[in-house]
Amino acid sequence: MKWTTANLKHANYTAKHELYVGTHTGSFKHLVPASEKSPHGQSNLSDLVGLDKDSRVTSLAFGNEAQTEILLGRAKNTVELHSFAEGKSSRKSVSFTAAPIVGLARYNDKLIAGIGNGQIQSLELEADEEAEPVVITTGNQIDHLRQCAQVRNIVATGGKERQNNLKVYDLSNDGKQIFSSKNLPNDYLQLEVPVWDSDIGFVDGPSVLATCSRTGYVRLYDTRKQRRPVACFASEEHGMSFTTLVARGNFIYTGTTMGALKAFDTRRMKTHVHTYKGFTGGISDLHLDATGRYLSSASLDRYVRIHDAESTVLLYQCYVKSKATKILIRQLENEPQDSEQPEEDADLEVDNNVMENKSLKATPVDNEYEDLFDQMPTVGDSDNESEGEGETTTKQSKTKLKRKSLNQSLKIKKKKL
Amino acid sequence: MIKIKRKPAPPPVEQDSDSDSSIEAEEPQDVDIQEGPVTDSSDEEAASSSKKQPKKEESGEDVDEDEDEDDEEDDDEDDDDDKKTRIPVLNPLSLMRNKEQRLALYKKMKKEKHKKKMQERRARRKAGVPANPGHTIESLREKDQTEVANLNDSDNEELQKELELDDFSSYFERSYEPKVLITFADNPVTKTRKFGLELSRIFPNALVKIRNKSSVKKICKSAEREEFTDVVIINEDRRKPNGLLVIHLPNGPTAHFKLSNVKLTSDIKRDHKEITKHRPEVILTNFTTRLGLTVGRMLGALFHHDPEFRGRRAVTFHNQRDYIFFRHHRYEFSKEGKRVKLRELGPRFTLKLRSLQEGTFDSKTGDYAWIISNKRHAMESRRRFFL
Repeated sequence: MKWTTANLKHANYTAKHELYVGTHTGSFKHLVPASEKSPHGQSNLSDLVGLDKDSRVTSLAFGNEAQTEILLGRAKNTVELHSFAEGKSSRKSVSFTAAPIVGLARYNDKLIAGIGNGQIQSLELEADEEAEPVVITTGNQIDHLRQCAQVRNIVATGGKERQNNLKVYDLSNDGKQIFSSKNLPNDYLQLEVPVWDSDIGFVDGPSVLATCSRTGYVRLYDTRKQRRPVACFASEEHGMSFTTLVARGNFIYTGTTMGALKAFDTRRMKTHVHTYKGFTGGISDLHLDATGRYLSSASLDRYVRIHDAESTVLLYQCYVKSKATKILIRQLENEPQDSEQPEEDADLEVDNNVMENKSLKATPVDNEYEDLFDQMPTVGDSDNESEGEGETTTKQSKTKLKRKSLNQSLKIKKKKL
Repeated sequence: MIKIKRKPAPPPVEQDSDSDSSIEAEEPQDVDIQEGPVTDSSDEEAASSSKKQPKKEESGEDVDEDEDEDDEEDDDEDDDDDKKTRIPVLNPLSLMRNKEQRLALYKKMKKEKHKKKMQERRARRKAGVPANPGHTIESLREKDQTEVANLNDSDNEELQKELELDDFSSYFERSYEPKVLITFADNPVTKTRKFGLELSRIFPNALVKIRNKSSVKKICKSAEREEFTDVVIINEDRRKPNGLLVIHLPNGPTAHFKLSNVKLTSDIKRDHKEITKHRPEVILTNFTTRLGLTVGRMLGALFHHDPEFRGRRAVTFHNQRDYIFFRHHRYEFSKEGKRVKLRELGPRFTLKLRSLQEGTFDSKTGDYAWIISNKRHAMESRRRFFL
């Protein structure tokens, strides 16, 4: 499609989604691309009047698996909890002791925040006002903290410099560090390879992680296997500087500071497999919907976009007036049939999901195959029947004929397959 | 190929042109007839809409003068035309082989057209309808979603808030006086150095320094320490200034401009002694989009808030089709105060935005708010402008 600055909605974009967008000015917006009347209408969920220079939205996350609660962190030390359960929305504000908040997670009744100065702080939500947060020190800087969507007691952090590399913590076990990555071996000049894990993504489960870097690499770690990355993409010559990452199945989606959005295949990390177009500014955040088919992106060019992850078609684009820094995409609630299915899918591991997809693809053929056998009269039954032999022989011959023809048809089918 | 096929059979073509002339007599505007016998047989009413389209196509070739009328008519029909497939049209006259007859017919046709045009014009003047101003690239500009029409609109509440909070808000609150550091690429040639010096006459409170092989990041750091508010770095290539990097301190943004058509004061035969030390007025025109607004604010923030009107100096940044033209004038009002005389003082140059980056200069890992350098061909169009 030709590039344009106008608000767009592709005719084929029929999925029911809603978007939550955090911006550089600090406004928190709600967009409903699914609505017929105003797919580009936007409502502010926080008041604009109270914003100041430090109210930039720096982290946005779902607080529970049903995705009815949203955690919103700002460049100052306050975190807002927005919950939208059963149609009514409520707000709550929690304060941590440091700023900015670069990642948020919720585990049981605790609110966990990654702070820019390298700490992970956790607060009891129901406790008294003046409770001191429990602090875990990870290093001296964090760029991002992410929570594993499947196993919610696992969080991962990453930042700039070697001491702030990718680390994984188990919240159920007093915040014990369960994994710390190891840098690649020194280069041919025996110089250290620079580390800057600007964003982390869990690839379907707590043990496989992907990181991207502003210094231009995308790495895949398997915590069960080794501390060094198991697959790596490095783009020294392209000079790509990755800011954000989201991973699902075999694909890692990353955005760069120059407005390039690329998809990598974890099985072969040599080059990217897809490029998503339409950006004029750097990409600040990515989020996949529950089915993994729709890739939403927030960009510093003040647009939010939704791409089809497989075909790379731009499905939706909307001008949100200020620089979008964080984005969440979610199935619209009031369509129960639509929303239930993907949520179930989300509960399953995506490996299974992929398998299901495969079986789904195979099913129509299988059905035909089984129909063939159902139509066939069973030979053994006719033999056992105590009827005239002549009839049986004719039957048998008929069945033989049938079988032959069936075999032929099967062969043809196989060829087709 | 079609022509070759047609040429062996001139008689039917002759008929064609005959029938044309009959139509001409009735409706001179429909001179051009679509090729082939189909249109010949079709009624005028049915074909009228399809006939207008070939006219539009041909208007560029042979009826250049009466474009304004054509445009008027075509505007009404444009929507219908776009849906129909365009069939290539041959002027039936071009198939005539007798040159004299052909020329005569052509002249006649032309005359009729001119006559009609004049009649229309007369009628229009009588009716008092203003002349069609015609199209320009600006009037045909693709609408930009981010356009900022009126800052005080109710739906621009968020924009106002953003302008209150952005990096230039403290300048527009007049909380500081801008102080500009001007420097160069390494080992600048005389022309570049002179240009830097002339820029320092434009920006009040500016200091020119030789770069001394220091990195931009270091320059930014030390400039911040010395309480400069902006850093301007002039790049040069092939002994000509070709790039301008404007860095707002302390938190950015950083804009990179292509710099072209640099004319120094001496190049336009002026003397720098004419330029007084008074603070100039700044005129920023035609920055319409959201990006344009940011760039305009950025350029404006290089100057002092309060111009000294006594000096009658005006500095203009005029944006036209994404090129920002810089001019420097001294003005003088005539005695009655109705007219104003301008004297250009120089320098003059043209800027074009290459990228706008968040934060201070960090071209490798910094976040770009706007950059199209590697996808210019996908993004650019003759009728799309970003500023």
